[in-house]
Amino acid sequence: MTQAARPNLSWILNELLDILHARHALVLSADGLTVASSDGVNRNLADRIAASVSGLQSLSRSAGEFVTEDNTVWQQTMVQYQDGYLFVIAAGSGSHLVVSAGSQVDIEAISYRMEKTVERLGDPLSVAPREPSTQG
Amino acid sequence: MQDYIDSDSDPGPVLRGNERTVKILIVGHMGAGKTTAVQAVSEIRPIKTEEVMTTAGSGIDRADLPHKTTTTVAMDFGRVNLNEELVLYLFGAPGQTRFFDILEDLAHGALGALVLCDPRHLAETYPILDLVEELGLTYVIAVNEFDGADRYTEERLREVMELAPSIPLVFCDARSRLSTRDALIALVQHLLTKLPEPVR
Ligand SMILES: Nc1nc2c(ncn2[C@@H]2O[C@H](COP(=O)(O)OP(=O)(O)OP(=O)(O)O)[C@@H](O)[C@H]2O)c(=O)[nH]1
Ligand SMILES: [Mg+2]
Repeated sequence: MTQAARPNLSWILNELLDILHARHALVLSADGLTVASSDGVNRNLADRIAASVSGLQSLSRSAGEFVTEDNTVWQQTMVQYQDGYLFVIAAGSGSHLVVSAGSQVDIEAISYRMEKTVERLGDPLSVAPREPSTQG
Repeated sequence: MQDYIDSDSDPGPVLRGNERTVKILIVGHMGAGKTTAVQAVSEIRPIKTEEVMTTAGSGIDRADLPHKTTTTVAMDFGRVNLNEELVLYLFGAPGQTRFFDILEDLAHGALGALVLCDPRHLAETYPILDLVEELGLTYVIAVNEFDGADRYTEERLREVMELAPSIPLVFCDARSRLSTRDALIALVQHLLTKLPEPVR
């Protein structure tokens, strides 16, 4: 139940956007709440994206049983749109990093950069722990 | 809240950043009014994942609501300030049992659940109550009063559902912002009685 506003995280996310054609970056908790975002993402948009990306990740994970029978471990979700892409990867325990980019983006470069960013982020939720809830 | 820039293209309430945020799950059987409720009460543009109900679902998904052509396949999302200090993040789940895995994931981090139900389909509410209890969520039952449907008293419903006295039951109209809000307030008040440390 902590309102997480993390200026230092935002700064790291902003840096990620210097990849050509990268647009927005946001860190969300796995349960769908905004942790931090790059500049230019207003709070209401951030909250909506955090919610829908948590759903996207959850669905991606459960569809893993179509890849291997033992439901292989989810690593990344990539969604293609007419005008761009959305990439989601894990960012430490219980959080995800989502980045949007235009169609011209170098997919390999941005994926690599996202992984590096996750390393820099450390555990995004460690500084803003959520109070234990009734549900683990 | 220096992390966020609010632009005119997205009007809606601005959070100060020091509010208490509480994640709430909105559950209920298919057609209980979950999506309707989240749409009605959200103060920001809500998310919905409606898909047209296809012939593949006939025989599986009940089709007795003439105006209902779509069903939620992933989630609903909305946000509402109950007061200056408390913001509710509403996560609506799909209703059909085939989506219960999604429901369990959406429940992650939720403090409580509002269980919407259409009293004409109580039997479909029971598996959801079981699941919500299994997940350890504190909940309130909100009976959605549909037009033209028979009305039951609280006593009668409690009797039929064999509800423990400790579980609140309220009536609502999911189409109404105020009525849905009142149901959420009932849930928050119930949560307050359960929490070791009060949410102010
Ligand atoms: N008359 C009346 N109609 C309602 C009410 N609540 C919902 N409806 C209608 O009932 C239908 C079902 O509502 P939804 O909000 O889609 O139900 P849901 O619980 O989200 O359903 P699923 O996502 O399919 O599980 C819609 O056509 C609504 O317009 C209500 O309080 N009164
Ligand atoms: Mg729905």
